[in-house]
Amino acid sequence: MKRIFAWVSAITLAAVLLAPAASHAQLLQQPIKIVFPFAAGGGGDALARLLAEELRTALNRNVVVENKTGAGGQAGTLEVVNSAPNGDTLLLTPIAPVVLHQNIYKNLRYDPIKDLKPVALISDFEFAIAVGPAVPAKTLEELIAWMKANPTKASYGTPGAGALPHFFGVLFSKAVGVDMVHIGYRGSALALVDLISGQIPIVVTTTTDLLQNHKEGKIRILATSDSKRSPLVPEVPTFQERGYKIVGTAWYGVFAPAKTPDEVVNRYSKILSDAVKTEAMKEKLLKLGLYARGSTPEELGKLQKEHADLWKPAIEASGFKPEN
Amino acid sequence: MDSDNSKRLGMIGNPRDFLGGLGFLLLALFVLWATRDLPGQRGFQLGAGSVPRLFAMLLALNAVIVMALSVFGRGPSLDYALKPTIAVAALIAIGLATNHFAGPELAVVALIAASFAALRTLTALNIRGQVFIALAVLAFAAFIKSLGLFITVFALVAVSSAATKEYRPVESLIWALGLAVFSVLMFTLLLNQPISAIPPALLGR
Amino acid sequence: MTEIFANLIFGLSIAITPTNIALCLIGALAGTLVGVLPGIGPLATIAMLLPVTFGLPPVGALIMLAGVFYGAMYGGSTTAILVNIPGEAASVVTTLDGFQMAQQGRAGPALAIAAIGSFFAGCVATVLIALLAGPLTQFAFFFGQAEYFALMTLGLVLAIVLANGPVSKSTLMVLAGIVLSMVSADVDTGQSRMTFGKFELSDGFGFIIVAMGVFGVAEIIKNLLKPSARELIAEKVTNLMPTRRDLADAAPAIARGTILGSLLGILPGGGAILSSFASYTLEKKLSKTPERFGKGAIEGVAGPESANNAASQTSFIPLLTLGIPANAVMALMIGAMTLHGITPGPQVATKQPDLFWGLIASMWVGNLMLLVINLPLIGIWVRLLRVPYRLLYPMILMFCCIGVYSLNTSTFEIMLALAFGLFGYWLYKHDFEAAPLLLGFILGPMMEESLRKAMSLARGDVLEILMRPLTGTLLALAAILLVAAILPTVRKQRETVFVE
Repeated sequence: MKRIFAWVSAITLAAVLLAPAASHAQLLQQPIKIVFPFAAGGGGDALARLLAEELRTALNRNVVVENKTGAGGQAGTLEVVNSAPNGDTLLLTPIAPVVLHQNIYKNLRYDPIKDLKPVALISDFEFAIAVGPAVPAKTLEELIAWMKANPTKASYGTPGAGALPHFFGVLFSKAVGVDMVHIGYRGSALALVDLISGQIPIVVTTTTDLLQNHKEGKIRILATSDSKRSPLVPEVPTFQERGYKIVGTAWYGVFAPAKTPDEVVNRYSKILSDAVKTEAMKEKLLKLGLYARGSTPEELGKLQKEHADLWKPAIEASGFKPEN
Repeated sequence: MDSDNSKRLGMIGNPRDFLGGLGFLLLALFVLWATRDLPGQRGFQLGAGSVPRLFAMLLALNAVIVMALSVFGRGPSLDYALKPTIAVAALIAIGLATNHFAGPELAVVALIAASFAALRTLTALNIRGQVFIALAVLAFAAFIKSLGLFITVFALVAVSSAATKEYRPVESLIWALGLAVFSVLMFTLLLNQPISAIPPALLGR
Repeated sequence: MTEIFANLIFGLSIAITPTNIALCLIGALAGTLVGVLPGIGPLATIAMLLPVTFGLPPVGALIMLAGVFYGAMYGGSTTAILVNIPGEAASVVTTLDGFQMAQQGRAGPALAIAAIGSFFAGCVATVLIALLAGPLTQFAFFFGQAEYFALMTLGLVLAIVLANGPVSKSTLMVLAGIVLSMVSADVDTGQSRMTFGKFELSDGFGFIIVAMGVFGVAEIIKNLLKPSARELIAEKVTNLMPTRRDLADAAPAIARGTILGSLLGILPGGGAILSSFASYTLEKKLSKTPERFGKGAIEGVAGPESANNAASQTSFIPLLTLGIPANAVMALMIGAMTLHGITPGPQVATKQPDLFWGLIASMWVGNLMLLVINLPLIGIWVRLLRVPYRLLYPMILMFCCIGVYSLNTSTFEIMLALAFGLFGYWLYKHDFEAAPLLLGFILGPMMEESLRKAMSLARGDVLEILMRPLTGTLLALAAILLVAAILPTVRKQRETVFVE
């Protein structure tokens, strides 16, 4: 009996000694919470933790990252929509929950335009199409010729059904007029293994995920999705250059509950935008495959609406339909 | 709850397996019903419903096999008695009613009060362990968002301690206090988890 | 050959500078402590510690994170052995015999053999990575979606065979696990399956939730029904370290587990999970006394623990040679590496040899550190079991609840864990084993996914799938194992019927 209490006090003491960095503020002060609506691990999560660090130093307040997963980001987004609009809760999200979901889920429980207030665009990135050893093509034209000659083999892998690369693949499939079969993997990595080993001919995913193996010649990136060439692979043309009118980029943005006061939003927007524009941060983000951006709240709001209109037709054509 | 006085379920040799198999048969049938609207195979692509239905059917088949074998097998009997069921039903009714009128926190408080008041009955019915463990977890779920980690862990430990017949009230309260302090130090301070230590309403900004 | 060893020594010289040793120690210690907490696994730990490493030099940061990884893996096994709660998929099998050993007062030897097995497996796998990373990568390329489907099917059959009850009931458990895993949004079309409008269910029941319920909560309820049983353990603790006999029993299991784990670990997505129970089944099949399994056989701890450590080590191979992470933890390691300016891939070895060999050597140092930390800790863990159960179980319950809550800050998920706890208690009342259920639960979705991808890729040509040599072989093996498991019970059943 006594021994147990001795142990507990020992552990407690150890915890107290181990927590010198933690001040009483951590116990008594409301922390700022950045909700990231996907699981821990991966680029977006790392981004959330980088931003938390920036806010912590700029505001001198404790900042915690909360991973709230579920329903492709709906659960976390909804939590932010429903939380107090006092600037203590922020959402760092990729494009899907705030741009795509209103066109995917009929019964979406929030309106991404009305229920959220844009804060700042953090970073963006583009996609690319790549072929593995199963296809001899060296250019986009050769790939299209191959697909037309082998329509039963024209399957493409993506990091997941219902994500942007999937819908971008649908746009591409319609543009070239070949019925490509979509294979959704759990993440780029698993799709890449099948691509390199020739189990699947084509993969559409972010340029960064393809870069390494492209450089080593195991796969070939044939085109990138932005309107400009990718700084990562400047020698590769864009789809637009090759005459296909398909453009697509994805991004990470920070949002707040709709009623958050403007002065708070503007302050956060400035802190975050300034932070991502520093050279050190730019470099860190580039390593995660993200181009640092930063923006005013208005610019992010505009982008959100434009992209919602842009993807609507692709989503409808994809057959990705969670609710009947 | 198992007793060796061979009370048999009719002519079934192993009622434990029989009822177990029956439970899974019902689960399988429920799954078949719940997935009835999901599309099956379309052309060469399997649909959202194909694999769940396939395995639900296999599960049903296997459950029937287990039930059939149990008829010939030998095993301890097992009774689902009426009295504990009524006691649990009464607790659930109290919980649901107070939840409806007073919200989850008070509902759990009411349940805790009722269970401690009925401690003897619960012990006699042999469901003390189940009830207090379930209650402790419910208390955690009901308290954590609004009351913070400290109070929640205190409640969880204090309530769950009553689950055993060796319950020592004073000791359990000291222990609850110790673990509450420990969990705040560990999870809020050291691991910086997004769990507030004190009721979030009291936090300053 | 000599060059490789020269490289390894070069790497070691980097890994054992005082700073790096200290970082490795901190990482392994933090990993062990957090890994022991049910519900908080290596993934969450590394994610939490990632920002801490920003200020460190890259090699040091990676060494520390590798330490966290191994520490958390091993910490998970500790929980499985001491309180019968598997913190992650790989330690489900460890609960089978590890917890039995603990109940017999042999928690010390169980923990020690797990640490020793892991260390041995870690050493072998480190050398394998240094020597054969390139050729071993090719092994992963033989596995397409059809082969994964076959491998997962084989895995499910292994899950049936490794169970200790009658085959009819263990198959029932595996099937029930698969059916439960089907609650989720469909991976291809996003349609919700059996989620009943609850979007908390759209990603399915989380593994941690099911494990905390069926193992954690149910185990407590179960123990409270037989009060005095748990108190006896403390009296019976015989020795802390394994005896000579234990070591002799465990040694071949460790060797076989290491080989199995090293190979399966290379396969991305699921290989490492399979390795632990493939090893358990293998040991049970090879054993002259298979009836000891499930009742505290030391081989049943040694084999799977070695396999799962070897596998977690060789899962670095696709990362180092192709820059492809084999699982979520590896994906996080890539994130960590890229943040420190290293793009994983074969060019790392030539361009930044200090990093590449430093990292490989650090894996070995990490494993050594684990042994150094954990052997003395065994005494403390075993003493934890001497805590009267009336104090121990509220603490376990507390860690389970906080563990589940910290995953997703969802109270609904705590209620779910409770529901699974009551379900687990019902399973116990009806004498069903929970481990095969959990294994079915883990493998079911993987099998469905690869089956559907294989069907799409082959455009529905089932024959094409079955005619692939590796697929055919694996499926045939699964069929043979299943029949071999069923036949004796059928015969026995007939005999009992005749006797009556």
